[in-house]
Amino acid sequence: MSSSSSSSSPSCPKKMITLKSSDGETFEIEEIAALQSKTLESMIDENCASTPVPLPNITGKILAKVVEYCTKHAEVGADAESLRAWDAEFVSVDHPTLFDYILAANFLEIPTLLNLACQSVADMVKGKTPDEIHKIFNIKSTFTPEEEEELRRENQWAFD
Amino acid sequence: MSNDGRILQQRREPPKSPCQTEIELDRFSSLPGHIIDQILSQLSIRDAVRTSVLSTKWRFKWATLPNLVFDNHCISLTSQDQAVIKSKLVSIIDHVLLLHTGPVYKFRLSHRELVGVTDIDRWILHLSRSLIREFVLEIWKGQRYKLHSCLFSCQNLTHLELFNCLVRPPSTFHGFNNLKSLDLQHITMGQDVFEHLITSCPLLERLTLMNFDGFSHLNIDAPGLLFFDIGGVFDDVSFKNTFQLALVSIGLYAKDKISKRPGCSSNLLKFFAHLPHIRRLEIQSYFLKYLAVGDVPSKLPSPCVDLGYLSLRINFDDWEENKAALCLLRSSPNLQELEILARPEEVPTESFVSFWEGEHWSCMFDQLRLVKVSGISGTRLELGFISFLLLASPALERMTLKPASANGQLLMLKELLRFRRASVRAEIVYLDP
Repeated sequence: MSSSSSSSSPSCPKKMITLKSSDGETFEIEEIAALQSKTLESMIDENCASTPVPLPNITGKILAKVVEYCTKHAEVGADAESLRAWDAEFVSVDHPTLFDYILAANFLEIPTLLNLACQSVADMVKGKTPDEIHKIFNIKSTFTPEEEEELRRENQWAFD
Repeated sequence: MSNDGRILQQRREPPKSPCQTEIELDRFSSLPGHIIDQILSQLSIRDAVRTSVLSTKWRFKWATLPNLVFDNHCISLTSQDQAVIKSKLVSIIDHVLLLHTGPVYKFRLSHRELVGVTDIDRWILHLSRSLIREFVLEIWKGQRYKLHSCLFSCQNLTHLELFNCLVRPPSTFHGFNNLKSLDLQHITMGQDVFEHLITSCPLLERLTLMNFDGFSHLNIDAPGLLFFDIGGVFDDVSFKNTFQLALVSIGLYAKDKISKRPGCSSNLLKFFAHLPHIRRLEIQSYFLKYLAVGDVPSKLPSPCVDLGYLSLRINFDDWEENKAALCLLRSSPNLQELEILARPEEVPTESFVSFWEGEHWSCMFDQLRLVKVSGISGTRLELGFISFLLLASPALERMTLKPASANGQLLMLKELLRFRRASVRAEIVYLDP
């Protein structure tokens, strides 16, 4: 994990929080960056964040990325354009990773990351035929051909 | 820290039988319900409905979506004639509403071909039974659509947005108790209807009005109002109890209605009487001319201490407008950003040549950092104003100038070069027209 932001506040040390992933890795995150997570924010308010915060639902690999996201978004003075580009880059990952981001963002209550990842998934679904969606996301169809035919008739307009 | 109440995706144990591997790889279908809602809401209704054939789990996921949007994306249009498209659209919306289950919280209907469609009435009736919270209706062309009276009984509404509609509530209408945001554009409404609507929505925070007719006296009595954006033709505007109003943008599109009765009270004073906490103000089109009516004071009785951003459209050839602008600037000591749009008259009547010279002694903008001036052509008055700003802004960082046309640029630049600046850090950027 690397926190690439270097805000110049010379004298006062940045307050850090330690997070612990499900596989035992620890990560440090600036308190300011952590405030983007409503979960962590309420822990900070209640002063429970002094010892490493255990996050048994998030692996080290994903937690590293989440910390990177929060740190980037807590940077001061980043212009909207470059942030958008950075976000687009951040979510150009395979869909299992996207789902990991979604679940992590859901658990930690980070609305911006949740929206970003959900929009990415939506973009992968847009305009695709059901067959294509089956393939991309490994969804197993539980319908017989007759059942599927009836379903298509049910909402014919969407398949025209 | 307890995890109850959170919906989590537990990692499944490694599969014991080979055919279970496939289920484990399909994580999409087992995402929590509210997340699937969010993803489906970001698709067009068409794409969302298509997920119904993916698997048993997916069959009705679209049908419980709380947000429904019907716009230009929902029909794949081949170039057919209007009537066909219209009837297709109506049939799709009927179809979706029929198969949908559960509450509809947000509804947006905005399609190019939605002209003279009276079916909207029964959709509103259906939605009014559904605890609707956000309703957006845009009729792109044709006559004003008269809203069905059922809409006025939707007490859960928090956001109402209408375009090209006729608003005539029934006599039983007592306001929207939960309405926070109201956006009305190209609408017709009676004067009493307008006033009643404003006063009977106690939680109103945001009001947008553009191009309206049927009422011309804007009496805004709204204690919770934070944001006010209007552009249209009106006789007067007055605020009452609007002590929280922080962002105001007003454009008066026609000047013929501005009455100039001699010795009447100042519009400027009236306007600012109930805006103690205004933070951002945009005065557009002819509104400054309206504000200049009456005896313009040299400055307001109490300064606008919170005003940080001011955008002003001004005709520098109009003596009264210059006076009004000066009064406003004298009363905005904490201004940080200023934008000036010069609006010259068709026939310049420059009967006075100096106004702003020497005025910097009565104004000091300690916090003004950014200034943008555009539409200028280098008249004496305009240059006098720019010089005044440069002398009165010791903290200025950047001034951007954009001329109206390419004529006389060199002369203007020569003059500008000579101007003294109170701020050593001030950068003057000259943009091409």
